[in-house]
Amino acid sequence: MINSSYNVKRMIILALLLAAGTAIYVIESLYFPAVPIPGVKLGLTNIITLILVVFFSWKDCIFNAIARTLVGSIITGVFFTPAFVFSFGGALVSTIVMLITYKLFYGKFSLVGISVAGAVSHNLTQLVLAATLFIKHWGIVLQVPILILSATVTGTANGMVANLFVKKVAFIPELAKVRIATVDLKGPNEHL
Amino acid sequence: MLTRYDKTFICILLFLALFTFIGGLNAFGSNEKGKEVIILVGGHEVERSSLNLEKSRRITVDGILGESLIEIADGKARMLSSPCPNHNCMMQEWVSRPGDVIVCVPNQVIVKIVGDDVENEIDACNR
Repeated sequence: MINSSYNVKRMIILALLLAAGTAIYVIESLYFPAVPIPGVKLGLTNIITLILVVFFSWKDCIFNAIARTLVGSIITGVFFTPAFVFSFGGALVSTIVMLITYKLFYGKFSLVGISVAGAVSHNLTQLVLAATLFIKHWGIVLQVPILILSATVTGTANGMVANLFVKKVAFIPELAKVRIATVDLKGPNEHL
Repeated sequence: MLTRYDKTFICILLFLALFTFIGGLNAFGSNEKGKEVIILVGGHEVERSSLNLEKSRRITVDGILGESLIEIADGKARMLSSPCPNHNCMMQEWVSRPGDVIVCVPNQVIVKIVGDDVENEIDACNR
């Protein structure tokens, strides 16, 4: 039996994670154009998505991805530009890929593998979107190795951060409770 | 922290990046041939000639400072001599691919290679 105070706490944690994800998205896109290669970025919001994938249901993850890109692109002023289409499609597909890999392979992969899978799918989705919608020339395929390489590196880094977070999460009693409740009541990653 | 499977996965992706790099270079790299060469002086087109000539030929154009000598041979073009002070245009040697360009700023001579499809405009721009 889940009481209502539990639901309120869960909602608050989700809202905080959404706010954190949006803040990281905006700060990263404004202040850290890491490398002057289009498509290469740190992807730090992936950490938030990984945390959601571990502790919350798939609906929450997808809602977070959509809301984060919407709010983030309104703040950075790229709403309905190609940049918005890229981040929206990339976030959606990478979230779905990470949910699937988490469900299928979590024992074998740590969060690093899941994060890398998400990052690579994010970049490749953006490339396919760019090739089909905006550039209309498959010469852009030359960028695939750069994108895979950067996704592997940043995905590994983000996955390590998420791994640490999941390990140390007992510091935050609410999240620890969510995790125990999720596992005990309905098995991993079920909707509460 | 990283499991065995993580490491395997990362290695596979790194190899995939390498293979796509090699494959992409083979597929899209340097096999595009230039079709025509355009020579501009002061922004105006003076000569448009078919580039893929068997015999070598030389074209002289009058720039701001003097005569520039352009050599076209085997589908390639280069600036053979130029009256400009630094000779940067001559140091660029042969150009052959669509989009390649030799610019001599002091003499205001531009040698431009174009391919068969339309112009070599910027096709997309990322903010």
